[in-house]
Amino acid sequence: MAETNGNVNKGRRAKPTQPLRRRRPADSGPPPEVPTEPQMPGTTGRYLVLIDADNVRKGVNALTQATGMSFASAADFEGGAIDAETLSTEGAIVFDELAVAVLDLNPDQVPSVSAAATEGSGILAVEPERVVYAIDEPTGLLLADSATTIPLEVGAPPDVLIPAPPMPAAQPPPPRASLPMDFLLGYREAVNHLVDRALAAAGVAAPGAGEVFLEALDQSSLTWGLQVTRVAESRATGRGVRVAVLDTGMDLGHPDFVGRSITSRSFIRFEAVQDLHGHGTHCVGTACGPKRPGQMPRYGIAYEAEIYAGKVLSNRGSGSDSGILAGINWAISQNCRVVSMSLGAPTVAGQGFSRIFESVARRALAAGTLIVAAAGNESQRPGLISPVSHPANCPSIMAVGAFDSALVVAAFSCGGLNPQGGQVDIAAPGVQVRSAWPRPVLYRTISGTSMATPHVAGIAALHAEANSDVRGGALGWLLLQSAKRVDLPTRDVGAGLAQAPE
Amino acid sequence: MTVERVNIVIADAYLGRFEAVVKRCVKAGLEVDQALKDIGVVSGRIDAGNRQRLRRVRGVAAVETDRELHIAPPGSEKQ
Repeated sequence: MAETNGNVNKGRRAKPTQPLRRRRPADSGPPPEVPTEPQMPGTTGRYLVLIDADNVRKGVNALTQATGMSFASAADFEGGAIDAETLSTEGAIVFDELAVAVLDLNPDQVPSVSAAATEGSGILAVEPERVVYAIDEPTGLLLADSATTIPLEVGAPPDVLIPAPPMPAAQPPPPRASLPMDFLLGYREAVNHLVDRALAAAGVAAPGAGEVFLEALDQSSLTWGLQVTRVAESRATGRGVRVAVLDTGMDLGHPDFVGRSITSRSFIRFEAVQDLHGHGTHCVGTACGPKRPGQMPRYGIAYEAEIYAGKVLSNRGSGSDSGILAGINWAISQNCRVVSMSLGAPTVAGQGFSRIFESVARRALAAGTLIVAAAGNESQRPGLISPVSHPANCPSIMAVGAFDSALVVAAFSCGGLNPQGGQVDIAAPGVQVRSAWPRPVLYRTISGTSMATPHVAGIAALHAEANSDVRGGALGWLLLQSAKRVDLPTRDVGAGLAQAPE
Repeated sequence: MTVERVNIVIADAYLGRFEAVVKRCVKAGLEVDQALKDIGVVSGRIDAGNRQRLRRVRGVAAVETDRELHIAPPGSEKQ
């Protein structure tokens, strides 16, 4: 599971799309009644609103304007404790410490609140409050009608009272009872879900969100890969940076690249640069694709970089060391600061790296050219982890592993098993990656460390633009230093998830 | 005699005399396909029996067989 970096999500796998309904024991009586107002099943009819913690007042003002409701503040109650009766009479409460508001909205008020949740409004997310049930605690603790309050004894501020879910009034409730742990966990889940959604909307990875993370991401304007690498937030565009993609060439007539600076050369005998495979076009697309493609979402990173498309793999997808070396030589001679190589040959445990490619990579670094290469797709996790491929296994070539959208290592991504350079250095999005494809298809979604590699290359170009005096090994260091650390083995992800500069 | 395709990297200390080293490789039996001065690499073909001779050429740091690499066919979901 990925690290959360301060997210409230830490240490758990979120299930944001799952209702927080918990199964009741068979002998625990009938399930609680659902309020009669039109609402989603499993919800209370109230709404949780996540407010920008730095602009709580602003968010509350926006909510006031949208609803006409006045807000009671939890801080105004003794010990910050609020009971259900207060909630029902006030209609709207803001928990300042949590930057969360609970609103008792009429259905016709919901659209105006959703509409108010614009950028800069202070409102980050709105969602229905869920009904949660205890499963393991003695039922007596929750046998209360909807007007009953149950003190929440968490020992940490704010020490609030939270309304019990609506329950049949089978008997008088106990005057005070500790809130069952499951109830608290349910509430935490609800708030965490809200935070996850807000982070996703902001293009921030919420590591640990688990396999449902992709569902939480809106890819209508930006691929998930560009979101989690914070490309959209970057001021850099790759302007003036030359990026070589050594692959199957490129569809030079792809409409998304009209007007771009493209230099190309084929190192395959009897084959033109024009990509009749698709792999090269896809990789160029991720590294250097446009800011506004003909068809959204945006999939390209360094959209103002100068493209150097070197064809070192044939239209059938095969090539040789000598062709790749020729491509590297060309890229260096063209003063490319980044070389992206989504290619490789499998290695076996104990196999050393190529002295030739290592020498060449060192010379490239000395000349100011950073080479990034795919770690390889030979693993079949969890049962089999294969070592990093050639030539990514060279110490002076940056080996790129693949994440999936849950920020878990892709099942196929090779691992750093061999000593002396065979490590994975960094990782990037490599599962279900959308990018350009030769005409007439135009776009395609595929997976592989081949797709992760141009993410790193494009991001390297952004760093190169943002730090014009940084080249070669120093540029590689910058990539590693700025990578987002994740709670996964360095064997698989190296320094972590590549991140664009601010 | 089997012909092998090889790549040769010139030692750092000899990069300033790249052409001279290439000439010595040719003398050792190498048929040069490409000489890549920027990275100090020569690619070519040589009889398998002369490979050790090539390795002993002054200025040659390493000789390796030219490997083939393949990516998945265009229709594959995993690339």
